[in-house]
Amino acid sequence: MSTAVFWSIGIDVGGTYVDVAAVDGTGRYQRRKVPRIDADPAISVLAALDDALHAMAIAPATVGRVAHGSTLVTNMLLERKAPPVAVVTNRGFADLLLVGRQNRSDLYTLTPAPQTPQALFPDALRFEIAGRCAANGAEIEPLDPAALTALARTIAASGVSAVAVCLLHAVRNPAHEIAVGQALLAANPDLAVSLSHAVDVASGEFERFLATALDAYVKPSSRQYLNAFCAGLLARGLPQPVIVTSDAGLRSPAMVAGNPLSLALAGPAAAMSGFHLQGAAGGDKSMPCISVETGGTTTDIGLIEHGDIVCGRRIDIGGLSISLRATDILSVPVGGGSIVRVNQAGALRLGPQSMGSQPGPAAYGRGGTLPTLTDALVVLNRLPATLAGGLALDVAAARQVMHGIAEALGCDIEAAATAVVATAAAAIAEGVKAHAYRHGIDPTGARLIAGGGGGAQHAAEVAELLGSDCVLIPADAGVVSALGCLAASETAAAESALDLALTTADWPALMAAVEAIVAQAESQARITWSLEAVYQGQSAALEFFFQPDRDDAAALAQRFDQVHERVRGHAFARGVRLLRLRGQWMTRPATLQATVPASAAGSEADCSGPASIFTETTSLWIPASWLCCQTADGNLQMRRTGQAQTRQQALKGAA
Amino acid sequence: MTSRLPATLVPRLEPVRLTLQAAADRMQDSLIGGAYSAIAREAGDGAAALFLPDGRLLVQARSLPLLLGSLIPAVEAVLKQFPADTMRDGDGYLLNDPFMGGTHLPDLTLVRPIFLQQTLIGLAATSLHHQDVGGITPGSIPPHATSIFQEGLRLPPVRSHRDSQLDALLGALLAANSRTPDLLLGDLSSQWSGTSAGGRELQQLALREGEHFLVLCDALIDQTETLTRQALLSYPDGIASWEDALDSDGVGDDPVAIRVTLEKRGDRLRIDFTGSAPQTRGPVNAAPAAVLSAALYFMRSLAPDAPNNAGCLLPLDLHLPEGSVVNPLWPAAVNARTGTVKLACNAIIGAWSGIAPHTAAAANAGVAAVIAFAGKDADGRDFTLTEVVASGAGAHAGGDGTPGISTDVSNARNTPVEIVEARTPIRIEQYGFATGSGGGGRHRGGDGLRRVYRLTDGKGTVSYRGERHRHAARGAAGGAAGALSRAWIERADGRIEALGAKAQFEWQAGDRLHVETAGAGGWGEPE
Repeated sequence: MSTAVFWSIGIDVGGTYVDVAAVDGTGRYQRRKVPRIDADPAISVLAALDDALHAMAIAPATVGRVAHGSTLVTNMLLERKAPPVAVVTNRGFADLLLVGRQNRSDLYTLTPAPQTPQALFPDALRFEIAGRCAANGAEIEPLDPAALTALARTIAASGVSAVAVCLLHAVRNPAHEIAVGQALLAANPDLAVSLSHAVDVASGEFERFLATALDAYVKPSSRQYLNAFCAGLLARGLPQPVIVTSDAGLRSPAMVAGNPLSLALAGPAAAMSGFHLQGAAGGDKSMPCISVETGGTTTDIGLIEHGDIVCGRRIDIGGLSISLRATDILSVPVGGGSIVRVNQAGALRLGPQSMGSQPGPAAYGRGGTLPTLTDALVVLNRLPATLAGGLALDVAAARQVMHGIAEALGCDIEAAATAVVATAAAAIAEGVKAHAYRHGIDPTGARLIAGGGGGAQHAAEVAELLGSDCVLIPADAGVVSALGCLAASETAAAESALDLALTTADWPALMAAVEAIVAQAESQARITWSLEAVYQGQSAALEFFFQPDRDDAAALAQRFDQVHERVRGHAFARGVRLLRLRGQWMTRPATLQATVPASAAGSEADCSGPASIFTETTSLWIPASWLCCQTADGNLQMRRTGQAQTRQQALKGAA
Repeated sequence: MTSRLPATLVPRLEPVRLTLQAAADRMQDSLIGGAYSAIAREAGDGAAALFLPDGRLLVQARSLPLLLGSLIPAVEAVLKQFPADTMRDGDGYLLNDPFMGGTHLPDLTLVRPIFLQQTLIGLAATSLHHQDVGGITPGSIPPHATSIFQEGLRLPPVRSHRDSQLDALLGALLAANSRTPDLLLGDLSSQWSGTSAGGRELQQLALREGEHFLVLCDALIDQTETLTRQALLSYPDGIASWEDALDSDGVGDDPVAIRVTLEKRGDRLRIDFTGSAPQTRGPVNAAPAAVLSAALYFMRSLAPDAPNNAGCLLPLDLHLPEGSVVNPLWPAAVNARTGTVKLACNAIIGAWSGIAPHTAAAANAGVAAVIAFAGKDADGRDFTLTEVVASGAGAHAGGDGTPGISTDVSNARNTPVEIVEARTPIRIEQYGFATGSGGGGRHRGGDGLRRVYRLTDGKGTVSYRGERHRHAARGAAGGAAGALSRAWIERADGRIEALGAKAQFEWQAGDRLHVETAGAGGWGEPE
């Protein structure tokens, strides 16, 4: 049988819907949004898959690949309802996870909250063990086998299902962590065990320990889910899946089950992968793309530069700041459900509290009584009478709640609604600027990709504030994450923690680290390399690309100076210290690459603003002096006309 | 107060607030992200703000409370020396003089006028704690200084930039007076970049809002004033005092009293430090710009929804007696002001608990012990390490105080154990909470921290600057005081040597240093 008849299926699970996208080797493309049934997570996903395959008339035997994006781990970290885990650490350091870095995130409160929630790691489940390694990995004090066996029994008897093993300097010498892990499994083979050296290769214990403890925290449920999902696919005659991870790559279920924290940002990563696919369709790689995905509670902002999704090392989720390589998404608390209020000084505020979708905005008529961003849009007549999904909007209810805001502000309802919408655009635009400049990217002239239910509603106004003239609205915004599953490549990566000077003298040690990673990769694999470095004495590293076969110390030092200058404004005449080496290689390319499947969604072309366009999945707002047209591949594109650009040019002239 | 704003401008106000705040935050990002100075990077010891041409604070970045409002006196001093109508586009002005608007000498403040079509529309200002500005010890924070002349190079307001270039002679002078000239000049260029970023944003905003720009700025300052006054109105009127003391001035052995009286009347608050000790010989004196931060931090906590601008100063009457430890006269030494500002801040919090006992928090332990290690390892290689050990947060009506956390005006992170051990011959043997050190009460004060260091090889010196070895953090609303800080050396042969709040000692391989920081005050009578 030729591969041409095989279907690739992307399946992404959101809060309300399961999105399925399917392409075959001939470019045939289908998609489905299936309401998620209320059941065990794996069962509800499999049921949706059954529905979709049936509706799309795809026989299991013709499916060659299933790529899956799941928000299971994200939700676990947000809700934190899972049972606590045990933590094993060195003697003298049981409190370390709770002390954290001893700083606080809210600078101005008189009553700072703990940075690590104690409920996740209660006193009774944080265990100390004798035995210690030094910073160079040398064993200073051996583990005590008898004490270890006793500890393993205690933990087995405690009833926990997961344990994090967090030992100092384990990245230099993992022997103690491995021995502790073995003892724990010997006492209870069903335990889920996470070892810190396997979760992160970096020194700086707290961030690694927290990531390890959270990896253990999500491990039992993740395993259960992945096992059930894989078994369900097998029973249907479908192939084993690949899973989208936080860095927008695909990994095997076994790899993901071993390090489930890698799924923490899988949802946004799948969406970014979809935006990447659609944004790349426009061509010009030199122009950065910025995705703006507005949902009910937040707007997620992501970056694409030089054709690559921009990744970072830290994610913030549910009040926790976690060290994890992931697509770098900034979440701004602005969404359709964001609550509008007027404070005691008669001043407008939008969010951060949100009505979400239940009960949602007053206009939803589900009992929401507080004014929201969506109600303001309804007042301005920027939403259709009936939303995608069939919800009829209650204009009277929206006007009624906005009336209260208008009275408090001392203006009419339309002015109040205009204020709310302008505030939303300003908040999103400022988020974009902060995020882009932090990565050394100038958002002026960037192309915006609007997603989510509300992205296209605000994108043009955001673009104006940024000085950008172009907004893309993907035709398939509704299933962008499912498409993202198909657009991601199967990748593997290896990292090595370094502590080397960027000098000719230390060059052989760097090459040895390179060789060690090459040995792990398949021989024919093309490895993409990057380094993280600081100036001697700094701590916040910058990442930059590396070509081991071409670069020398001088070339790399110059490249680091350039990156530092671009991101931070200037370079220092200082030695450079290398902190981390990363090699990443593709094990199997993506199903979909840079050509967007033609969509059935049609709409009127060349519409000039001010105007609204309502499509199947979203509603666009085209401001005055903007034009909207449909591109050849079925996407919608908004462009600013010459007249409006004059002001921007005047602005540039003045600055 | 928005009633003064014409209805047509109402829709513009909130977007302008968001843009101003974001612009200042981006200045701060650029400043701290690019900084080399360790204390700027690790403790966030830098500030960025935009001002109106008349010197009113328009917006300050979300920055360390220790520097909240600290740019206000600096901008005032610059405007006094260089009136606005004499400023040119591309100018920059620099100062660090604590007796003319500065905080302490390592904090260089750069002020830059921002023009739009030949009209001065505002001032962008940044300050940064530099690595070294001279003086008698590396790092320019000599713990035994008794005069400003020992602390480094003092700059009254001077014009540092013309046509966006650093004056070559001034640059040479600065470089010649620093032990790390390339870092000083690099960080100064980072400060200039910060003002460029802020200036550009201010220009764009002014252009976008046109003739209404100033009206909107005034409305934002009014908004803050209104919110602060409304917050004050919601509390009962009253007078309450609070007394605390630093263990010593770092040179002598006598305690240094900090006394504050709060008088809340209607929508106004007077904060009066009368009764605080006269200025000290040692360097714990805090310049007015430094103490202002403690007061503003408190004012901000009353109205967290308010924009971060000059409006919150208007209901405040701050009195700092001349010649006292909170308003020293030339030539007092001022480099070690942080402990004083922390205690002043907690004294305000403590006094407030006498006015609003049911909503207020107990005082934080307010200790950020600074420990500096230097020496040679067994192979004769030099090592240095400076780190900060935090203490506990005060209990409050809503619950226990958080243990082991940076509180009030500072927010220093710890140094990871793995980093300490990789960079120095020091092994950390224990790091955790000083359990039970928080004061009792209906809600317990936060515990301090315990950290045990052992020198594994070589020898070295340790400078320990703690606080609360003699004066505990008091509780509020009937809660008990927290435990005192303690520190001692355990010699390799088992001898124990207790340390005072300020100590300098030698240690050898096998010796241990034990540090326990104070617990915070409890809240309410135990049930």
